[in-house]
Amino acid sequence: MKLLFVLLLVFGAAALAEKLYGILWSRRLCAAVSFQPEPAVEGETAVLLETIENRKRLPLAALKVEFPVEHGLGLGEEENASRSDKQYKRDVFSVGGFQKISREIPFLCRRRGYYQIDRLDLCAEGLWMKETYYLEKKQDTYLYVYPRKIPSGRLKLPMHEMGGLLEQQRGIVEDPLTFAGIRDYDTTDPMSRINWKASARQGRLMVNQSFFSCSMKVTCFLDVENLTIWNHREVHEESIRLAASMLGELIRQGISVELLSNGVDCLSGERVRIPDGSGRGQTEKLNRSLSRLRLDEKLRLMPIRELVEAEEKRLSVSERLILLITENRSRELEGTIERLAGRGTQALWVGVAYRNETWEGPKAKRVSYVKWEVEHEG
Amino acid sequence: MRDRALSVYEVINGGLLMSLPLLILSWDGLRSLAILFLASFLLFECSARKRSLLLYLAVSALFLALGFLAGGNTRSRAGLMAGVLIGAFGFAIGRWKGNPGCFQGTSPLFLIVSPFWYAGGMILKQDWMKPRACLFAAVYALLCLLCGNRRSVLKFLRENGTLNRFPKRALERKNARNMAVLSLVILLGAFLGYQLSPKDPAFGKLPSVEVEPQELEYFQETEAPMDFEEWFPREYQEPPEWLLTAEAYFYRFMQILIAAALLLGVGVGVYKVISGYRRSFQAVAGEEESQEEDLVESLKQEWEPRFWLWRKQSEEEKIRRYYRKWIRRAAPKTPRSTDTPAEVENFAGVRDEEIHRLYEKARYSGKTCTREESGEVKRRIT
Repeated sequence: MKLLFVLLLVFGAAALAEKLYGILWSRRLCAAVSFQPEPAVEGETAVLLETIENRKRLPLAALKVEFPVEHGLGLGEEENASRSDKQYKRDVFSVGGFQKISREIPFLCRRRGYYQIDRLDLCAEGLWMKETYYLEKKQDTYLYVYPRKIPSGRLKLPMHEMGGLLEQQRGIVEDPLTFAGIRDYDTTDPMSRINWKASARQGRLMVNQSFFSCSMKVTCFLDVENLTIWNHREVHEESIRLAASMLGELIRQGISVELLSNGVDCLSGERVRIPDGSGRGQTEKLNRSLSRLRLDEKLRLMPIRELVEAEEKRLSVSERLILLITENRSRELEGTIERLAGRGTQALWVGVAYRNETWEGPKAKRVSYVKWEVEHEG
Repeated sequence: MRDRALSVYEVINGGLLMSLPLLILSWDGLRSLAILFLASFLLFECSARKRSLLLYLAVSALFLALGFLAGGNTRSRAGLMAGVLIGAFGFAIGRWKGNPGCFQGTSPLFLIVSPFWYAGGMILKQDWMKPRACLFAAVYALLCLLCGNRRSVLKFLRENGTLNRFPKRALERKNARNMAVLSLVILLGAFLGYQLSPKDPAFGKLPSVEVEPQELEYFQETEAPMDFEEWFPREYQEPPEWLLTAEAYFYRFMQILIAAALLLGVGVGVYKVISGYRRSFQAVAGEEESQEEDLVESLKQEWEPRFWLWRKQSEEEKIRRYYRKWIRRAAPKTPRSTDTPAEVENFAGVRDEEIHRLYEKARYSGKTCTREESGEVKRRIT
């Protein structure tokens, strides 16, 4: 019957078109999402780049791109995200034939960490907008969000304490091959140290200064263990920021630093440990390790006292300063640090606590104490 | 807020349903169809804007009267008035139920009319009914698909409209383009099906009825030919054959031209009305164009013709061609391919610093040459 033929033609053509679309929509379609290449800092804005390439004539009227990302990245508009164990970001594109769309999404890095996107879900609406087709694409992009630097004004006190301890640790023998600067002549200076050119310029006698022969080293113990059933996340985050800021400042002054923590690296699953080093490479290593440090209340971490005791033998024979950043106030830890300090090393204990908590600090000899207050976030 | 595209589909749906009696009973030309579609538009507006019942009844009465006056014969009048009544009833139901379409909008259920219509044509042995039933079925089926698509698009827009940088206009434009292409393909296929159906012998005329030949009793055959000279003046002469042929062709040509102009005029008029409606709607709704901040690049590769004759030469290739021409014109024989440009020029006995410099730039430097440089070379060698 001719009527049936016409009706079959109409609905058949529609169904055939839909079927063809279902087969062809994902061909020669590239979708990628990538973070900016340089690392970001907590509290600053970073950029996420979404790219869709449609290398065929068939247009995609409605293409939804979804990917999961960890909490801690404020991806701009909250309307494009849904929250569960992870944050799911959704964006819709309308791509024509032979078209490439690049979209830059600025977002706020709310928390430090290591963020990775390993999967991208594509959902395309059918030709008649009745069917939905799905495709999953693997991705491999990551972003380091470094801990925020503490303002230099606030950092002055612990750095001042540190500076004093470092001065005490220095040796009295100068290294004549190094050049630290020029100062005015003193009657105790030998004539061989006089810099005649500088003296002629200044009109008075000037002598060269040298660095000391003993190179200073600092070992930082960072404690992120929860001592009670409560999760003091703000305290631990502040401890991490403090460690990053202080150690970064020390590296800038040319001092070799080492970091040992009972916190766990989110990638390797091992305790964070950065061996001695200095320079820009060490700063990068430090920031990356601290970014990857995972704070998870479910993890059972090694007590900081045990970590210090494990390193006690090595530390007591070398000329170094111990920097302990912890919330812990136990007597056992006090005893361990006091024992370590009694063998010739200097120690600086930075006690991180909430503002309303009162603790006078350890009563150990040769152990300096600085209290670092943290505001409650809730 | 009503959706414009969906409103147009509802009006077309109403018009098609209202024109069913006219298509079944008789055909009075496009004028009747225009009256019914206009009635559909006004009844839809009254229904959608929830105007008073009095206005609704007034519009229905007006078009009933118009249908009566516009009909050329009893059948067409009956078809027009029945169509207006169907529309008035259908849009009233839609308004009452809260969905202001004719009988609440498009529904594939109305396709049930087509098989009955077709069967009626088979039973009554009226072949002209069959292609009309096929055409109605094809157009209505397409309308249902388009309407369904529009509803799905609106649903998608509603669900995702709050997303940042949501490409609303691009999405609607691409979807409309897809639907236009698909509709064209489907209509072409339906036209093919229509062509395969028995042809309508006299579209617009009364249906063909078999007439049994009757003998007229009073008619008697005579052997002598009939003399018509008293009816026609003597000075009347038949025009020549070629003139009659030319007149026939000219008449056919004018028919086609006028039909095409009419179709174009109707198409442009409909487009202008819809776009004017859309502009006024936009002015009221205050819709703003969303900011397109995405970087959109075309990946279309420029088609490079393979055959050298059709390929557009670059400026460097032009300079090399002019140089070759210059050397060949001056040289006694073809220089060796291993010679340097200086050696070739020496062999050919020509010397021009500028041409030499530009040739070396085009041949060896890897830099692009400008049109002025190739023009300079051409000017110097001529």
